[in-house]
Amino acid sequence: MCWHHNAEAVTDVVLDEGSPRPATRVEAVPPQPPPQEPSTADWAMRLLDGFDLAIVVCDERGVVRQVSAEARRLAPGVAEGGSLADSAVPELAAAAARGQAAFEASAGGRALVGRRRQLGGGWTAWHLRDVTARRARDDAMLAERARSRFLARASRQLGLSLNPTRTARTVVELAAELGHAATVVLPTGEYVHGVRGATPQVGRWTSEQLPPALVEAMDGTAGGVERHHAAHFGAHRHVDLSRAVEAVTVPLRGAEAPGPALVLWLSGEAQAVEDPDGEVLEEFATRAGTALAAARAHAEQARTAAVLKRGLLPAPLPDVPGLAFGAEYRPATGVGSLGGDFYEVVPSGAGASFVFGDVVGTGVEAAVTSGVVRQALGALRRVPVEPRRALEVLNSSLLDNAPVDRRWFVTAVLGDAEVGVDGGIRLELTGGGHLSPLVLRRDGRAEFVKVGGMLVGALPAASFRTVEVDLRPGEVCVFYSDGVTEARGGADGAELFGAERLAALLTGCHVMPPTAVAQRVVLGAQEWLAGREHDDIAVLALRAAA
Amino acid sequence: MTDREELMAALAAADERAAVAVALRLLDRGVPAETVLLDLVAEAQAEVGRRWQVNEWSVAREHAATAINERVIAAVGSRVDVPPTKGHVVVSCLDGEWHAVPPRIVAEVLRGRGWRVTFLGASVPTAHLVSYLHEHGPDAVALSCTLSRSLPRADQVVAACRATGTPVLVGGRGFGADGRWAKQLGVDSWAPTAPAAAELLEHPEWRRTAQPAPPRRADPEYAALRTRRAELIGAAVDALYERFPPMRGYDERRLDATLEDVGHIVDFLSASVYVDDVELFGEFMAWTAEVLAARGVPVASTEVAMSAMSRVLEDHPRALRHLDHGRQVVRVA
Ligand code: B12
Repeated sequence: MCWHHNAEAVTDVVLDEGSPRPATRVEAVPPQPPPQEPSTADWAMRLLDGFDLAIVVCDERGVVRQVSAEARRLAPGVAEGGSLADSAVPELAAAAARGQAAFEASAGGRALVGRRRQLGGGWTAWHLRDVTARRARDDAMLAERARSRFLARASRQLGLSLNPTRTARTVVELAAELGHAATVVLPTGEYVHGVRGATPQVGRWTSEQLPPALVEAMDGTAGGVERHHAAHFGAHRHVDLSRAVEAVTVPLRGAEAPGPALVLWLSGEAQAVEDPDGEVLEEFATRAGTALAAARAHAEQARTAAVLKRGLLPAPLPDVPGLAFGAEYRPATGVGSLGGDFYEVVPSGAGASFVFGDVVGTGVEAAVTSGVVRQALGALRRVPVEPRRALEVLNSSLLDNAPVDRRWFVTAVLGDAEVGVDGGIRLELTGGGHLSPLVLRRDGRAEFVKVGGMLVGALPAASFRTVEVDLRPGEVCVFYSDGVTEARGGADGAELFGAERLAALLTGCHVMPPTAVAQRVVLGAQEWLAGREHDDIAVLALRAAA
Repeated sequence: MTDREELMAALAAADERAAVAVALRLLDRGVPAETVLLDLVAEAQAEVGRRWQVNEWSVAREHAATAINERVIAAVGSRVDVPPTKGHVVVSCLDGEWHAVPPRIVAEVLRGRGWRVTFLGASVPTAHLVSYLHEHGPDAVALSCTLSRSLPRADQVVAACRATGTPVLVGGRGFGADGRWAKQLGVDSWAPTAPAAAELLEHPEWRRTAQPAPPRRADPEYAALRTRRAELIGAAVDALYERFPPMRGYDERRLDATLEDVGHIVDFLSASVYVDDVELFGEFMAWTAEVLAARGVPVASTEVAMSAMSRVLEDHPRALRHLDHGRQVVRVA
């Protein structure tokens, strides 16, 4: 126990209860009592004792003149004719010696407060009060409040992450406030260990290293909170347990067993949040278990989605001697980054083959269709077949395989780039109704190349066209989807960005590496959109390396 | 020729090979990669910007030089072989922010100091960033903001990242020279430089789960500026037609450019009101005045535009104060 010195608290306590002012009481006694009745002083004393008030009255020299029974009980040693220095409560003696008007003392589990009043003529009175019960109530309330605040904070923090490791770290950080350190162990043996206030460590235990008590907490054999000697956990070279005396294991049950478990290491020192009967720990474990289970479920779904997505997202651009590529891909939805625009570049012979296209529609469904299209074209590349024929096969395949209730429309350009001896490039472009690519000439002009052809997947008798384009060293060919040209913006937010603006944006940009060209297109469209929604945006730029 | 001059010459000629060679030569001589990135590459980049600003270089030339400088950063980075022992940091540009050179440098510096770094690139959609954080659970995320007009967005993105429990670090000149606009937004984790960021990340409190950001009070003036953006641009353009005769002779492309410039004025004004500091708008207008002057456009035209906006916003005292300040700045410019 420690000694409190807090004059503020004293004022509060005394005034809160509207306690009588001893001085007033003393003076309130009738001035002229009938002769047969007790003296004023006697009356005062009877009143004080009748109400169990602890009052010590001193005269102008500091000599104790009156001590009520309650005062004698609270401050033994103080007696009429003596001095306050005789008090067994050193704080009272000290306050009197220093001329202070209040004191606060606590010893042997009891708390005492005192206040001094002037009675006039240099006389003073001390009013003493035993506030032990009240203090205990206050402390209990504060502790209770700290516990509920901790749980509220825990809920808030545990609700944040959907990442299993991050969530386990959060559990450890929070749990460490209930003890000296905490460890979360996942059924895989992965663990996060953290000492209060320090950086958590992440590691893995093999199943042989796992103490039996932990295995029981994880597989559901152990019922709930269990206390063990820390020594039973053996020495772990991974975590420093030198200060731990006791280990409390709790299953962090989410769904099925085996599930994660928490070990709370207690050192016997004060904790940030006191939890004598373990109720907070139990409640916390429930919330932590739910959060960990949610994070694990989310991670599993995310993993599945990532595997499925991998085949639908544009692959990285290859390095091809004599050619430089740049691309940008900004799906409408943003989330998950799936869309109907697609491109693919593969090295071939003396250059590269590529495809750039746009499935009508957005989101996951368009992305799945674009995957089908890319796969079909990829397979067709392996058999020697003319690009025009390839588009015809794709056309009939899309017509045959589209679900009955909808059509799969695609616009696409297939390209073959052949690097010439002079560093120039011969491009053979076969069009399936896609927007005309732009060629950035060496004089700075940006000119459209009409490729033409019909939409793929719309008509059985669709026809496609092939054109040839020559790029001199340093010239660039840019493919883009209608998400660029149909971006809405301008003064009223309804005007289309359009092909002319795009050409103007790229005029003089032949000097830029193709990555910068592709970025400039998307940046231009974004500035035009000024935050409005847009369709999928894709750009592929190819440059004859100068 | 100094190394810096040599690099500038290579950038001016858009000669990637020569530019990369200058940097690699320094590494071969034993100059630390961090020094090459911060003292050579970053400085050269600022010089590239200056040449565009004073109209010495065309936009295309500036873009080409910047893109090549990015390749230099990548080349220097690929030479750095420090085992990643300290944890995982995700570095990202805000949505709509295309200044990728600064965060790329930050990413390489952190990598060189033993962090595993993922750089997500330019203009990263917020939803993508958030799902990345959930999926990979990095130790921290570092956000770069170069354009002050992105500050409201930065505020949103910081809150979104903190809501994943990931500690957030911010940096970039968009937050003001001394990071004062980060403080203004209540973001206490601003770092002035990449090395300062690396030091900050060493502190154990950085490894703790982030607290969710407190909800921000709605600012009706900022909201009005956002919803009335088109109206403000329209009013400014009408006023320019009337009181700035050269505009009547503009072709479509120049009209587009004017529209874009006026749009930037509104966006910077909004950001300025959002962080409640007229200096933000003032700095932007001072820069605009300089750029226009270098291109022979009378600076008075921006005054016409700002006055027209003031008339639209007559019931918005704070926005008016910012516009007044902007007008004052261009008048002295
Ligand atoms: C290159 C450049 C561009 C290129 C960017 C290409 C790219 N791939 O990066 C392009 C052409 C796209 C561009 C476009 C625009 N730009 Co610009 N651009 C610049 C320029 C010239 C250089 C920026 C740069 O890379 N600096 C070098 C870096 C290394 O220095 P730094 O930014 O200070 O970064 C260091 C620190 O700040 C810190 N740091 C940075 N980020 C972070 C993050 C963390 C976490 C930490 C810890 C530290 C940190 O570490 C860095 C390394 O030391 C500057 C002018 C300049 N001199 O800086 C203008 C500038 C940034 N642009 C500007 C503007 C206005 C624009 C446009 C709006 C112009 C227009 N009219 O279209 C567009 C907007 C584009 C967009 N939506 O993003 C203004 C911004 C004004 C303002 N007050 O906000 C500037 C400042 C020009 C000026 N002089 O005023 N720009």
